[in-house]
Amino acid sequence: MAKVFGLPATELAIAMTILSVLIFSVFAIGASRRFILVKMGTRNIPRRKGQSSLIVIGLMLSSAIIATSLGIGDTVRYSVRSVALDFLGPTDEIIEGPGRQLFGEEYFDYSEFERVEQLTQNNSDIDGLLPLIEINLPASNDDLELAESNMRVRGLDGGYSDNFYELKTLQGAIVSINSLATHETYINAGTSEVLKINKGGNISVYTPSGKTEFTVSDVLQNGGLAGGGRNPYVLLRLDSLQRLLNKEDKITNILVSNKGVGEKSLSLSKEVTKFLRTELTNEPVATEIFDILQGNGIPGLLSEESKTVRQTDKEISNTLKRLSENLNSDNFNDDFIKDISDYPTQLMILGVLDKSGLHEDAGKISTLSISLTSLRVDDAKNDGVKLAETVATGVTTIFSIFGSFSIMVGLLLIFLVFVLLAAARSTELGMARAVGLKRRDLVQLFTYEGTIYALLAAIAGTVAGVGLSFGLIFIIQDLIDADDFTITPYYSVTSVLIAFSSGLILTFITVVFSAYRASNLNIVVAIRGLKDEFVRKAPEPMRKKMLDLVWNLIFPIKQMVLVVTGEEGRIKSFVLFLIFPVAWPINIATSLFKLSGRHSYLILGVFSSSLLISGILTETGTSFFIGLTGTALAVGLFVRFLSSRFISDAETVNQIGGTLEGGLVLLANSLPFDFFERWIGQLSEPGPWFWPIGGAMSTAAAVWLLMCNTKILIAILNLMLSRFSGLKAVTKTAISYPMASKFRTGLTVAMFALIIFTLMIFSILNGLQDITSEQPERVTGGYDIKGTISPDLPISGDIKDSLNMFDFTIVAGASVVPVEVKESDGENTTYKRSRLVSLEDDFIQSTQWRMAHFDAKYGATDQDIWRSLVDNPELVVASASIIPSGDPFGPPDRSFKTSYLSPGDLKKMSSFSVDMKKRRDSLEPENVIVIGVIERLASGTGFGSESATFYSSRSLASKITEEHIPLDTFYFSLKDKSVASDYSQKLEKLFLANGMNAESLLDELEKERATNNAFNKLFQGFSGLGLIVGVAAIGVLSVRAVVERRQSIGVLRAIGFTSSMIRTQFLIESSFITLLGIVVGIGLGILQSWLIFLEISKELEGAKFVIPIGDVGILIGITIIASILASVIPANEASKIYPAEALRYE
Amino acid sequence: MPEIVISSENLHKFYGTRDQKVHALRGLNISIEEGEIVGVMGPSGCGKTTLLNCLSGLDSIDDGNILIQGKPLTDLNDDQLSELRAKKMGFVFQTYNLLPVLTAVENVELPLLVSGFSGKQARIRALEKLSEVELEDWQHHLPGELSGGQTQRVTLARALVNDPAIVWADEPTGNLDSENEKLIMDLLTQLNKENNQTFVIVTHSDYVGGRTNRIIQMKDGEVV
Repeated sequence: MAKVFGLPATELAIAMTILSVLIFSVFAIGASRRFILVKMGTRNIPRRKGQSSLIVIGLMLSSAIIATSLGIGDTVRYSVRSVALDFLGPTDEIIEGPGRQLFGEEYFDYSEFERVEQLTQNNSDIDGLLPLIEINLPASNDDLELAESNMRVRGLDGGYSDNFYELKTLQGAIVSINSLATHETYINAGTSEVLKINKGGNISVYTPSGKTEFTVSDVLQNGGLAGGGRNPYVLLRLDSLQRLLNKEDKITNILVSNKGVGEKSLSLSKEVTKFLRTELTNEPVATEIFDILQGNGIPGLLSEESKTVRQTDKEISNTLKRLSENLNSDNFNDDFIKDISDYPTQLMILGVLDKSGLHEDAGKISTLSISLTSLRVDDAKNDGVKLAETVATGVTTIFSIFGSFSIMVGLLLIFLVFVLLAAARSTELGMARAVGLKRRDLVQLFTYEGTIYALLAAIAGTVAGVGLSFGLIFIIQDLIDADDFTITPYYSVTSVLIAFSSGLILTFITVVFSAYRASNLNIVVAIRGLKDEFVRKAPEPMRKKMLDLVWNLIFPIKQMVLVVTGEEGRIKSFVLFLIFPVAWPINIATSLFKLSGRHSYLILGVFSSSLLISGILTETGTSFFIGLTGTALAVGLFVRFLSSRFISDAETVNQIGGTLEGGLVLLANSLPFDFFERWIGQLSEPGPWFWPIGGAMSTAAAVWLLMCNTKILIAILNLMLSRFSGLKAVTKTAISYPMASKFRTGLTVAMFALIIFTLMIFSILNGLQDITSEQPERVTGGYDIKGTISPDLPISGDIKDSLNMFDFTIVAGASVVPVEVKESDGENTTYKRSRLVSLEDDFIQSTQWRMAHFDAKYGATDQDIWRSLVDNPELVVASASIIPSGDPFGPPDRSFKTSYLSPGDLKKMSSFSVDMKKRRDSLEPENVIVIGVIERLASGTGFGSESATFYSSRSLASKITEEHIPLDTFYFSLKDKSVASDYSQKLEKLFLANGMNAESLLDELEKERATNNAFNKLFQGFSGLGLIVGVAAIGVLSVRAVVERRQSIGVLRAIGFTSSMIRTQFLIESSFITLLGIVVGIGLGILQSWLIFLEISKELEGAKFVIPIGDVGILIGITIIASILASVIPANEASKIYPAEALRYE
Repeated sequence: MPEIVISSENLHKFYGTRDQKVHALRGLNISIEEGEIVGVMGPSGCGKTTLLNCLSGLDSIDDGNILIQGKPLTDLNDDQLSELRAKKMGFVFQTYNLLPVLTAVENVELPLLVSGFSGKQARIRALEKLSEVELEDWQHHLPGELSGGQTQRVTLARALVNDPAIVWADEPTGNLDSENEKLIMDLLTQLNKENNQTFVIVTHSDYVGGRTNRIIQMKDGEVV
């Protein structure tokens, strides 16, 4: 993959591998100097095999999740790339017509091919050219009455095709297109499968002139010129197809093949595309455009625009920057010609000029650009590969985000494990300290042990992740179920390195941190094994704190000095020097906090409020929300400080402080997204990574709040449980123990809460899509069948004449034409690609598509708005895709977007006018008024595209294009709705000659819903992996609890607890901790889902917020049962301890 | 004539692995009457605590017989033994052995809750017992917040809260200074007089031994 987590993959893999090697080098150097520490640290690993295995299983999850995300990304990239490569075969670039035709295939003269041939004859990067016609036509096997309405038919020029690509039969024999007679054809394996035709059989192809029968000369292997994937293809001689279509001397494409194969040919794509675009551009026209663009400060304007669009579209931004630089330096070169011949760039420049009032220059360029090129060059293979990268990066990001909660939980487990290990060995470690081991020796000792765990976990996790990614791919393959897309499992070495190293490094960092914490033990307390207490150091003098701050301000120099003097250990100082970009700010912050002492809220407050204010000024959501959280925490800390001045009881102070700290942070993270907008205006959307960060902050705050109020919690629980007298003694101890160990209980509760939180959000949001089953008409418009025909094969006359209208209540047609649209007065004054759907009046009168927004001036109901289109042909409604959504995962959407509406706006809107013109034409635009926006639900079955679409009555399309536009889409409402599936097949047969593709809308909706559901479950399962860690944590905690509380078990047995009561106590204890996590997770999940729902419901009228009780029940059940199972063995062990034996234990 | 509440016949107890066995109790015959305060004394490792554990049913025996209030202990299963301990016995240990996560009053009421008392009743009786040991003001404190003497008084209150017939005490004053040792023994003898409970006290202390009615002197697993 090119990028992982937004960083270049190869460089990331190299950097991480170097870091891993560095870790091992430090390990090895340290070990060689004091091997005794390695021995002391690692001897427990083989001794306690069960515990060690449990720890490794828990720790490996981070690596496994990262490895899975990367594996899925790799596979998607490889598969999409394979499809692109397979589909295009030897073709690297495709030359097409100028793109001015509104519908159907665009033809150009064969002489253009001869010109291209001449232009390229001296270019050594180009291997071959092939002129051809490629068109979608219906075809059938009349003997078996089988038909395919969308057959790809290719007419190949035999004079060039043999050198371009070898056509192979299924038996492997090479055949030539030249050997076909005029009535003969080759079909590929896909066609043979669909139409059940073999060599020697007959196939009928439908063209505007009627049906023609061909004899199949042979069946070819799929791929390359014979068509990629499993798509059906028919291959004819070019002249045969030209005659058939009545397009003598015309072609639709010229395929270009670069020299070499695979990566080599791909690496030439950029140069060849540039060469072709330059050569196919009218240079004098380009020079004229260059001259115009040099005047009136235009280079500066382009440079400004480049900066403006940088965030949303990096590619366009780079092009504008390059153009500006070339214009500034008077450099009329190939780059300029290539850039200016790109149509979206032309539109962008025109927009910039219009915005700056340079209408005259814009008009000139608009006219000139029409004659700039007669042919377009599509960098097809490169674009396919780029698409693969974009999709793969998006998929990896999605899986990483969903997995990040589990990664966090995994890291918490590492921390917990080390807290427990330190507690378990406190006596031993105290002795070690007493006989002369230094604190840093203890850090090393733990680090050695942790590094072994980290290494084992990284290996196991990477292997598990690779396996898991292949397993998930297997499921995804089933879900996608697309004929032309086969997923092939793939894993790159880069990904293995990243997964392994990142797991190792993350674990290692947590291990070092935990080791440092564990080493901070009080020797006396540790030897006596009293409690997990940590040393309260004597306060440092102010002078020393000041000095530390000054040194830390020049941290790299300080470390260099320490390396030379060796005062704090040369290796440590050198490592800190190497990682100074990270260590520097941390050290400054630490010094500042130390300096401020009990007034640390001041530092946090100043820093957070600066972030908050900068967020408001720059309208950046991320800064604002992080600043807000920090400020809330600072207020809590301040109140804690104030309480400590007036209240002597430390526990009460802690309760007040903790309640406010946790409560305020939770509140700051739980306000509706637009809560502050009324005062501070709209903020930029925080990126997708903000979701797990926000989730983690909320969870930490909620757990902190809970653990600071254990007194209240115990009182409530005791009150509730006092009703069950039989269990009273057991529950009392079962609750009191975890509540007394706040730190470890809090960590475990946080683990469960984080995972349950994500699963809850999935469950609740999953329920929102039920609206499509309750009100399917909002998706289907109330129609049963949608039929599309080939624009090259229009239905002559009225479609109703060919139908038995007794079966239908409504039959309404529409047509789609490409247009360019810009806002007349708003901010978006650059023409952008859009589509205009002109609808028959019957459709407008009958559709049940609803409006997400509309201007009440034109009516009070959705129907009124629709009807306004009939009354006034200058009115349009738009698809919801004109509202910028900021989807961070897909490729940038370059179609029209409005500046008048934002996601989450109210239903009420003010109409606005847009200029709409014919694509690639200098015709004067029409001014039309957008009076409503259709809700997003309708886009799926509407016109199937995510790009901007406008809907009008029939007359507008003809007015804009000055052409007659034939109907190409039909909607049917049946009297008997139950026959929709059968009737759609009937319609396909009836209109086979028009290439009709008909589908039952309800069937499609059901299919889509099932797929969405399955994907949701898949993501839910993936996110739920963290539960394994939570359960492992419960297991580790229970094992530790039995060891620590052996004597208490003896006492309980002495005062009358039976063995089953002891077992029950441990099981209740683990269930209780789990339940706390579940409750926090469910609470936060509901809260977060409610916030998301508030946003969604603004655009999705009638959406209901339903908490899926069944799902929640299952979730609670599974989690608690898993926790109980994890603690059954230690609980049983505890119950079997003989009282006298337990009492003897020290 | 006082009733015999604890008796053992030919009591044997072994420890250790198959290869290396320690004969901890060697055919002991003991009988203790109701209301007696009996001290068990002897050098370290002579089997004092083992004897107490076996007699109270905390540990199993390898041979012989134990009768508590005339009923053989070996006839009882683990649950019945637990019930017996909950209703008829109280325990005081050297290392206090209060549950550190429960407050003083919660520790004292725990045996009552095990015996099936309601929460309210248990709390009332626990407070009564705490006031008998003069610790009602410390009821909401955790064991970690109490002094050694206070902790042992809470332990005593817990041992006596269910009015047991027998109280077993293993070095009850082992961790206390002489002032607290006297205080605990005063309390113990006072309660013995008031309630006629039987006390079996394992001790090294001559002072404690001197406050008992009778001493069982042990050496190498035998009564001497």
